[in-house]
Amino acid sequence: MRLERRRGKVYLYRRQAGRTEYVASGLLAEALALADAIDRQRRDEARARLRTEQADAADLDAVLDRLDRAADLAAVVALTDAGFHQHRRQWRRRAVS
Amino acid sequence: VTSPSRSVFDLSREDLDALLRRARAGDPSTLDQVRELLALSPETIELAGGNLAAEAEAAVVASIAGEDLLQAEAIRQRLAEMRQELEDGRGGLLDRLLVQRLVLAWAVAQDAEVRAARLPEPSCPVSVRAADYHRRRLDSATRRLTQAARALSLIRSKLRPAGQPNRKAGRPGNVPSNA
Repeated sequence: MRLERRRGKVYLYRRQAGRTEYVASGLLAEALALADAIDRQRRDEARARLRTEQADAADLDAVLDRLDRAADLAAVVALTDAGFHQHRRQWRRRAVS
Repeated sequence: VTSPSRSVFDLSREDLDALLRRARAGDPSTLDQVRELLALSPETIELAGGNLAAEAEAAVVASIAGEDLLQAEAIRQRLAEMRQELEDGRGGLLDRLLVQRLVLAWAVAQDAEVRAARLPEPSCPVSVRAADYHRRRLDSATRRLTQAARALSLIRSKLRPAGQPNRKAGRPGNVPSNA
């Protein structure tokens, strides 16, 4: 939305499908422009909040992934040393020959 | 894994994944490396795993509570209670590491559930996109929690000394695993 002032009057226009079209004038135009600005600010804040949340979550996931890998590796090491091996997603005790 | 003398936490993800895949498949050529790692494991788990677990807990608490010290302390106490409940005093370092992983995964899943439950504002496309993101995040947190629970259950069912039945894991037979 775009507010234009000409010869003491206020006009509100918007871009629709590549064309500029008239929306309103006077007090109504100012009220609509204000509502649009507030709405845009709210969207910008929501977008920024989402970006921050996603970045924080990615950092947290990186730490948790390291912990998961370390724990998985330690578990595999312990199981293997205890004589187990994995066969079709099942841990089985290695047959003693 | 190129050298067992390196900390496991210095290994690249590809190296670790490759080692896990081969060891899981019972590749006997990994046994020496696995044994060498095991020889290092008490220290490795205690130093690297212990520090990593503490780092992860700090990150989880900060992520949920932000700057709210009261909430942060409440979460820490709840995590400590859960750890105490899950640790039965018979487990070693590995058991404690797996318990800590499970407890943190639980906290993250709880947080993800709360965030996903927030209703989006239908008039705000960003809010709708955020809701979608939080739903996917909840799925991922739930998967992490499930894997953590399975790994603990697996280790307890397989590595409990004889005569110590594991109440939580059920039968001591073969257990499907993601570990």
